[in-house]
Amino acid sequence: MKQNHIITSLVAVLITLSFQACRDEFDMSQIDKSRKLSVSCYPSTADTTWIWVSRTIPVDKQSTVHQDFSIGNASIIYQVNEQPREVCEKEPGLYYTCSPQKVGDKVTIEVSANGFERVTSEATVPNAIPIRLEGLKKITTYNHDLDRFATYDQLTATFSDPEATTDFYAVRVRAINYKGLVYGVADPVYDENGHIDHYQTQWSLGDSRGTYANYLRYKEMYPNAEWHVELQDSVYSYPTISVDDEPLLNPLSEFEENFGFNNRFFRQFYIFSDATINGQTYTLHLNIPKNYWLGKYQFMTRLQVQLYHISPELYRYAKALNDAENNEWAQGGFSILRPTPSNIVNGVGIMGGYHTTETTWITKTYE
Amino acid sequence: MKKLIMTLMLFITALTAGAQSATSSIKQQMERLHQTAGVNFVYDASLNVGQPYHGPELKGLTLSKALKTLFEGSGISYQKNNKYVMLFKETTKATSRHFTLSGHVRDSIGETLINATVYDLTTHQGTTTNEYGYYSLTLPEGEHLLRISYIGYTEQTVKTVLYKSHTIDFTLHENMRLSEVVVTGDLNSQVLGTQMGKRSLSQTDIKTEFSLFSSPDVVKTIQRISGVQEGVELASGLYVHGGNNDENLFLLDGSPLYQINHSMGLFSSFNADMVKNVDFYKSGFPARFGGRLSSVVDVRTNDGNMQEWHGSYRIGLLDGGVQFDGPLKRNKTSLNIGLRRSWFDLLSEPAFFLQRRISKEEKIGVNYNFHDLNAKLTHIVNERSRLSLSLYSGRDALSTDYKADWEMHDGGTDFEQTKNRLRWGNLNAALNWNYQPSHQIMTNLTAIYTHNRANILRRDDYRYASSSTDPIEKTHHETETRSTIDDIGYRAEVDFRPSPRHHIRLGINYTLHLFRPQTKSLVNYNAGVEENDTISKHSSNHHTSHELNLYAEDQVTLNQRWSLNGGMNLSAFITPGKIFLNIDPRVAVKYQITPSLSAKCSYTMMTQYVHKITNSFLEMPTDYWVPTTARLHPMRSNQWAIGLYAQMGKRWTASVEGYYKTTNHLLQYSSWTGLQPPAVSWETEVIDGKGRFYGFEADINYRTPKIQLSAAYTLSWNKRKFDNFYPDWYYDKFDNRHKLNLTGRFKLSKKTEMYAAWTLHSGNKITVPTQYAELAPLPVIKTPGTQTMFSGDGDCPAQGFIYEHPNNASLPLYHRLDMGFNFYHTTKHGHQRIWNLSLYNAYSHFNTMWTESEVKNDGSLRIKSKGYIPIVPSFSYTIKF
Repeated sequence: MKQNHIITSLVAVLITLSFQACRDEFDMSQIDKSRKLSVSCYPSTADTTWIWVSRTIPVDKQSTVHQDFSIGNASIIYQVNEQPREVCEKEPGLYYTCSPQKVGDKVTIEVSANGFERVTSEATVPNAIPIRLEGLKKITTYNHDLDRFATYDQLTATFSDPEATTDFYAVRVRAINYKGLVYGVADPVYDENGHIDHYQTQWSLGDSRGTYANYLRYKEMYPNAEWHVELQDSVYSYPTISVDDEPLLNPLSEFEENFGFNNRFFRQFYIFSDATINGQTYTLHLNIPKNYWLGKYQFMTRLQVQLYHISPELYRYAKALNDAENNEWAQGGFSILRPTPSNIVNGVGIMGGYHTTETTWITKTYE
Repeated sequence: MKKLIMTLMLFITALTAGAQSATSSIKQQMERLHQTAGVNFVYDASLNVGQPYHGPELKGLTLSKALKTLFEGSGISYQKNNKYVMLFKETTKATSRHFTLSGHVRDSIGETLINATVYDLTTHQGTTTNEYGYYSLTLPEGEHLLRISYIGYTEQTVKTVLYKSHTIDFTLHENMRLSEVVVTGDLNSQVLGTQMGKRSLSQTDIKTEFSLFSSPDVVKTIQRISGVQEGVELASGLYVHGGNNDENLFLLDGSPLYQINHSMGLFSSFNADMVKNVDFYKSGFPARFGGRLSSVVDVRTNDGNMQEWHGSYRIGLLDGGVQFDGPLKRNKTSLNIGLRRSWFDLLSEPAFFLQRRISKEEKIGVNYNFHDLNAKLTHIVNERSRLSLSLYSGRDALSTDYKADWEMHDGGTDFEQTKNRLRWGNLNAALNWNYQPSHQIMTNLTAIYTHNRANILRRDDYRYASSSTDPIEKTHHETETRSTIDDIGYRAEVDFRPSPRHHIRLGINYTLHLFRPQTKSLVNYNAGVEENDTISKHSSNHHTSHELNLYAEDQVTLNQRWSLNGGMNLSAFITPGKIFLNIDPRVAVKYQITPSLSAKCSYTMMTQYVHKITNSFLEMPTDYWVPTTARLHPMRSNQWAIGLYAQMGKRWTASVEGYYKTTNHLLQYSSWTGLQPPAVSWETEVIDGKGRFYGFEADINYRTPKIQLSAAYTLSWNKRKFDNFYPDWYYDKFDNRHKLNLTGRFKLSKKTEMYAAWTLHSGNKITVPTQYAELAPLPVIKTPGTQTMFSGDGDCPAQGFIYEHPNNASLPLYHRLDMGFNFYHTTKHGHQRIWNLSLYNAYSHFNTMWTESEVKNDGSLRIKSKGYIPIVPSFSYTIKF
């Protein structure tokens, strides 16, 4: 009987305690709190190399992000093969140096700013990996995000990966969209002087979407007609690539997407490695949304593929940014969260060389 | 027991009577010791205790010294056992004839007992039964007094005269009514055994009064042992001495298991009703085990009652089980069969059925269940030969079905259906032939087959037409992924005990591994608005490899103080394009400082050729196993361990152990995108690293018939280094610096038992951001004088968190109290009924599982703790018959 009382009391105490369910506070004081310089720089064979300099905000109870990140008047020593280059400040936090580097150039940087530890880094400009365009066609494929079929413009482009080295790449599709108009004339009626007085047949195809494809169709139908194409203004853009048909860009299954994984690429920078294609000639299949145009720039679209041969450091940096965003399990502690790598000594950010090659432009000739 | 007490009383009476007539003899001195020290002498009447005593005065000496002095040179040897001193005729040392006593130790229903001690009190030599309950003891010719003991069973003392080798099978009875549950001279105990880093768990140890969601759990019991980290809360993770979850060798009756969990780790696959014994090794691995780096979990199931049929029914919060065992032919053939199945679907099915009936447009179906089916058929062919067939089938099945048929105006169609079907599990079979060609040798041949599979299928159907006159657009999308492993092999073992000083084990294991990590098929069909289109893809990959292990080990008793277990495990792994050969030395040494205090040290090297490719710390059906290939190296570990073991009085035991372990060629999947890494390229997606793990462990146990208390403390450091992940050493996710487990089991009354376990450990490591920074654009080629636009976030200024160091912070201290009660009731038919009530996390502490970094509206940065698991009550009801 006595024991029954003990048990009853014990259960009562536990029930009471259960209502006092407690949560813990995360101890933020265990995190390193020193602020650092953040430097980003991508040396290449381009004419201008941009350098971004900003400061970080330590994750701390007292920190607030409503502060200016940019660092003006930073002291930057930029050297190519130990030869200094002049660095100019375009605006606070954004610096540049002109004159391009060559393949294999070793670029070093030192950045100092008041109140921060001096940071250093280096990078080498990689070689070019030629890429050639294979074609452009309309395809219909299953879209995981939409859970249904969708139609895309598929660009195919081929490159050869060097066998002797481990290489890292990024790919983008670049588009140029035009405003413009087209009109055609046929069956001229001549005046008495033998000059054209007017045309019996005239076409004005306008400047709307599909006009250029229409023009090509008409041109084929009326080969004797005289056509006038007027390109007015243009805009470059980098459309989103649907990676379903490109294994190198590692599409996820719906099952994985349902479990909180994504396959987004930070800043449309579609990175991949040669791990599965080392030494092979490989054709990329890059799908971009059909009828991709920008506002009024719908008259004509031309496309090209850009292949970036990037340094391992830049690849790892971009991959870490992608992984942190795409893996909700890692955020939840059920999977490994890849730290953001940095080759900026004493700071954060990235200095990564790259070399871009581009295919020829191809004009979209269908709708 | 009654017989034993009667015999003792008889001897005591004889002793008392004899003492009255003797003067200045050994017998007189014995009488004095009986009066002063309170000890009783037990001896055969033929023993000459009447001989005169010429030694020094015993008064003032300790009992041990007095006994030594009294019997020195008298031709009488003695053995002190609690309040009794047993006297024997001293054996003639000149005898050169030795004979072997062998047999099995069983319990009252014929079940063999593993790790039981057979000890000869005459020569002070002994042995333990192996995993088949078999013992062999070679002794000098003559009379011997044998003591057979096993924790929880009545100790038995048997006199035998050895003049030829012969077989004796011993039967021990459970000692529920004894006042003491202390086994002296347990050679499997940590104090006397040479083996270190081993814990033996009987069914009683596993079937505690606490069970989460109604099933007692083998893995969760092992999690409480020092040196083991449990990983993610509620998951049956096993991170031993810093090792990964795939570095544990799970053997079910000798057959390896690849997937040992249900429900992403919520339950382990071992049905506690079927388990007889679990030997868990965390260091000092004997040479007979190989293939994994961090631990061995050797699970043996019950053979079944050889006398009569018994069984039990159990129903609990989430699962239920039945178990039957009994003789197919009495004392010859037994069958033990157990089924455990979750019954959550029996509730969910009607609920979703109702939902489907009520809702006209949306219909939902969810079904989840798992089962474990164990069966063991044992046949005693004759005294020397027995056969057993052990089968295990475990499976998880999850199905979801979502169907929506939306009503449209103008007779249109808007229909969608999504079906998911997941199946994963194991099928294991082990056919064992146990043969004793001589009294000193036992051979064992086991044919094993293991099949592990996971299957994930998804179907999407969509039909749409805006009106009845429009064509219907139809799409069908179907993906299926299958992953299987088939292992076929054998294990041949020889257990040879040429003398009590040597216990030699030799063996050869061969396994053919057939890995098919991913077979994918995909069908997409599109019809309607545009032209019909079908895409069909199929891909598969497979790896065939052969694993061969040869081992030899000898447990040598050098003298009364020194013993060692030395051995070698030679492994060969044949994979396309390469053959790996490795030799793993193993050695463990024990020094018996006093009868109740010993010191041990060990060195072991282990090699692992198979790896689990996973991207999470949970057990997922998307994980798959692959072999080491020509491009990679097998994982290897070296572990040094040292320890002190003590028995303090009858009730207390204590131990301290230290270990230092290094591992090379650890593999880590490195993409961290998606749950199901592509198997076709897995070799290129893993990174090679190393680990360094060291720590200190202390255990204290207190045991009486009514109370069992134990405390296990671990202080450990777990570090890893993967150059392609992070340039420096970093702490492992489960680097829990301190871990303390306090466990108590109490018999409150004849009808009530209670269990309480408190766990306290440093929080798991977690990667938290250290900086908030502006993320500069990635390289962009801009054409001068043009405008460039990006879709999405391509060129927008962005700010974000920077994660500088992996696992750079610890979650808050983890602590939890689990409690459980068993209420027993015996029916008038003699059937036992057990009500179990269990409380997981009894004081409902929301232990932090992860953190969330955020920027608040006022711009301040914050890292919040996230924890969701409150108190979880469970119950179960069991009927035993």
